[in-house]
Amino acid sequence: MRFSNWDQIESKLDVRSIDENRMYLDLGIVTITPKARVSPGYTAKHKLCCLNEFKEQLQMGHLQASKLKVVDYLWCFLRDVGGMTIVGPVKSISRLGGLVYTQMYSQDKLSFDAQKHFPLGADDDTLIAMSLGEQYREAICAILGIERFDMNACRLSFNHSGLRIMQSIRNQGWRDFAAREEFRITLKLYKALNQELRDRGSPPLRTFPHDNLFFFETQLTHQFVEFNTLPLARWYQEVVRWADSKAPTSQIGTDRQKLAVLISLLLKHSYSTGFLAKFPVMWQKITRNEDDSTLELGLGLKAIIKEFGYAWLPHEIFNFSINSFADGVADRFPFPISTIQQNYRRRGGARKTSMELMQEVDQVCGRLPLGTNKSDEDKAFVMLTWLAMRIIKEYMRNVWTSLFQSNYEFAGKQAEREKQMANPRKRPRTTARQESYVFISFDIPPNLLYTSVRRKLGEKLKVCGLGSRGKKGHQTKDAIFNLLFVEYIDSLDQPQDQRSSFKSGWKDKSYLHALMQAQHALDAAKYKQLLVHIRRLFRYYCRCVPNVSRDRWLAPCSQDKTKNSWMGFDTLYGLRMRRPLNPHEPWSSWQDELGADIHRHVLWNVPCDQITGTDSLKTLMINYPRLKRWIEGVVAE
Amino acid sequence: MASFLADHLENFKGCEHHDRPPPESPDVISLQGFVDLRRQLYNPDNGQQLYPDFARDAYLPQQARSDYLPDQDLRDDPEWFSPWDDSTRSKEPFHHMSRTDWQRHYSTFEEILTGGENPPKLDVRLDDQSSMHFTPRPKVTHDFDSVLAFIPSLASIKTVLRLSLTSNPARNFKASLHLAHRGRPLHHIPHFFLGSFGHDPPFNLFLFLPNLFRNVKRTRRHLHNHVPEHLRRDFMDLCLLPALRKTLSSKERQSLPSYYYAAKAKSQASAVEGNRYANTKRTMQEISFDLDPRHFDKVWRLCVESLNNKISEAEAEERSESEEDSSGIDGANMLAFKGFQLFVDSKGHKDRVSSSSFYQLASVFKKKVLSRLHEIL
Repeated sequence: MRFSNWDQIESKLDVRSIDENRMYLDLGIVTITPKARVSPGYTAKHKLCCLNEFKEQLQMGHLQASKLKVVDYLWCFLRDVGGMTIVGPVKSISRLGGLVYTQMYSQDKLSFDAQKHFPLGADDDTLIAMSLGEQYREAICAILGIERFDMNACRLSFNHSGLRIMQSIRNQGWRDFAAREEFRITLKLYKALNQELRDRGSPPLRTFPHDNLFFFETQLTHQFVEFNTLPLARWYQEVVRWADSKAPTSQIGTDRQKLAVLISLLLKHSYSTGFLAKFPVMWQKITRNEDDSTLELGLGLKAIIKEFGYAWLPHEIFNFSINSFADGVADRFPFPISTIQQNYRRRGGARKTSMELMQEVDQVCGRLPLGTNKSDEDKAFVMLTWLAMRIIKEYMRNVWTSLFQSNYEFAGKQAEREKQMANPRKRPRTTARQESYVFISFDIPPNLLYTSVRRKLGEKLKVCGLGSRGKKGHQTKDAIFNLLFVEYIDSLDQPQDQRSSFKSGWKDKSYLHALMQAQHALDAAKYKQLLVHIRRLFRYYCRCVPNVSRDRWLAPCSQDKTKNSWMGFDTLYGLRMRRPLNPHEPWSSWQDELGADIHRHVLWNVPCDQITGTDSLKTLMINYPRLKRWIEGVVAE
Repeated sequence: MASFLADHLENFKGCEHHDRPPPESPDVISLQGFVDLRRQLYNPDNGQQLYPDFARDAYLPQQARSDYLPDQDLRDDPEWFSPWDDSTRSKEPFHHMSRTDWQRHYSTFEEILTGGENPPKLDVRLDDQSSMHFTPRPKVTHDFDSVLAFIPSLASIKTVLRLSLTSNPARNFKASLHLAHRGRPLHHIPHFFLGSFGHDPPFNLFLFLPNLFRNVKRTRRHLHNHVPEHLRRDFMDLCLLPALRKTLSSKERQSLPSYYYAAKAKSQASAVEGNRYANTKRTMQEISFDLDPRHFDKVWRLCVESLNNKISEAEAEERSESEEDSSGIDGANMLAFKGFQLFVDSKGHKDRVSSSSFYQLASVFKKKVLSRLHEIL
């Protein structure tokens, strides 16, 4: 028997010209309560157990085929209510049979929909932006090269999203919402389906009762959404107040930033259906330790929802009285970097490095002993020196990465480029604008000594004399240090129009952001001490540095614009510029550099966790015997 | 698969048995119980202090306030506008509690969010009206939401086609269609908008270029499915516009732009000409040309002929590694069009094209959608 109206359809469709397997229809099945005169509205929602059973049957486990890609969505953190999407891979039974895509959802989400734009949507980064401290925001924007976040706009976005949620759920209990199933099927399958049903004698379809669905009063679902969402939204406000520069207290620590990000994730999924399992920090995250024991990270909502049917937040994670995480728990949560990473994948390496550095600075500054006894003072001294070393290391890293990403060419860069081109799997994607870029990371940045620099460049250095820059007062090493480490940061206190004297390349340097963070977190005396340590390290270990000016962080050689120029310093502490730094001079005259290998410094490789850990200085010295000798030497000095 | 779906259409292929819910108790609560518990905590003593800014009555239109009554006369309500529209208001920080207030309220937050010392289990079955006195019997309807098809030729279309000569890149697919072409996800294959036809519902016509597909890293925001402008220009200047010129009568081709850049200049005219302000955002106007269905066959045949010729020339050139390039337009570009594919899509019919009986669905579909397509496909 032929499908009754097919002939007529064929007369409309030029079916002969279209492959039946290449034409697709979205067939929908909608279950909704009819509009009654005087009655509350009802919302139909899918039972997740039934959706899972449907998925199992569609998989047709007895046949060998690719596994279906299934995503199940929970509604408002409930275990039993939700939606599902099923995609058939190319070799799956469903795809081969003509069923391409299946989705089942409750249509109450349509009341939040504005042309596929949902409140607090997945792409909405404003909640994260508001969660970050001002320093982090600055650093992220500078390093990603994006416009600064406008906090007014972020607040407006949050409130507008909230307004839309409220307008959709308040006093709308009279509305009915359907449960929808939708199947994207080929024309061939549609015709076969019709034929099959005709062959069965056109049986009645989907008669009452509908066991696969819940029918809730719409007013109840709306009230549930309201009381699910509002406490989280208010809690979020209470946490991010610390980040709001207009609030009385405008500093937000790392722990509260983590907490705000966590709440924002919960908030995004609180008013509708969400794919919670996509976020291990909420759902379940387990890592295996070296001793094979497991460590649970994140909120662990998976187990809670399974047991209670709803995502109650675990007591032991939070300390509500101080509005933060409980002691020792914050480390279980990652910094928001991964959340931001999803939306800003470009320049991931630079961002990661920068954020790690900022966190290390935060950690050292936050845990600096404040006691006046000798032990505390010694530990504070070691920690500040370590921080100075870390910032110098970052400066050196910035020097090398910037050189490889600059327009300046040198033999070492060409060699690296060829090496990367020879390995297409690791070859980075570049655009025409980035042709001169070579992306390379430096875990251990090479020394800034004449011999090391020459080796890394693979060619002789273009040197600059005192020249015109000398007239501006940058002829001594201290003047260069001030320009590189002090003046830019001081200029930030000045009005915006005066900051512009620092131009190309200055604002995206991670070592400067680290220094700014330290200035923000330390008191004036400690910050001054830190600068003294950095200056000392710079004097002794940075003997050959790239030329800089306020206009360019890497300045070209006056004779050749395609090469950057270098400044060399002589004498042990290199206070004066070597004039001229003669490239024809034999290397033997640089022998005094040999003692200035920063890689051999006792603090070069000490990890941050070791230096900020709860171990006393004594334990630290036992673990690092060289550190002991160094401290004793410094104290004696 | 047809048998499986037919079974599913008859009865949802879900669980066969559902346990009865336990009675409500302090350990097991319903959605209503959950709402009641939280409502108690949001008691009037706390005022609106536990509400976020956006949920405060003062900031909501009257219909969304907590004290709104359905029969309320709204005529006396002063004209409400969102306080977030007010630039001054949006610059204020969020409301938040003082340290003392927080100490007074934090235990409420703790209880709300953690469920207290012994959080109850939530059983939604207790609220399911279908298991109780469910008076309004639900209705099941069927519908078609979308139609998508790979078509072999323009000749499959039998109504006026509004050809887009400059192609708006914003029309490109931004999300997965869950379809593949030659093993590639369709929305990853570079394509451009070629025009539209029909008005209720409107169909979009795209030209896909699988040969231009590259294995690059894609994100939701960067799908890399755009076709560079010089290729679209080549297609128009070397293939489609010449075919149109050969086919159309002098009268019909009066408004046809001679070449791509002429069409582009027209598309920019309203945004640029007469504009006195430097920083005004410029929006391009879509320039289209209405093509009568009787010409489709010839136009597409001529277009494909010249396209194939150009592709063969480009291949030959590539083989001989000839560096000759006498024309102003790079012929080798045309290799991108090798294996091109036309695709039509039309979405969003579900609210109008529905039927209470599956068996009538096809005729409803025919009446409401395909009756438009009667002249179309």
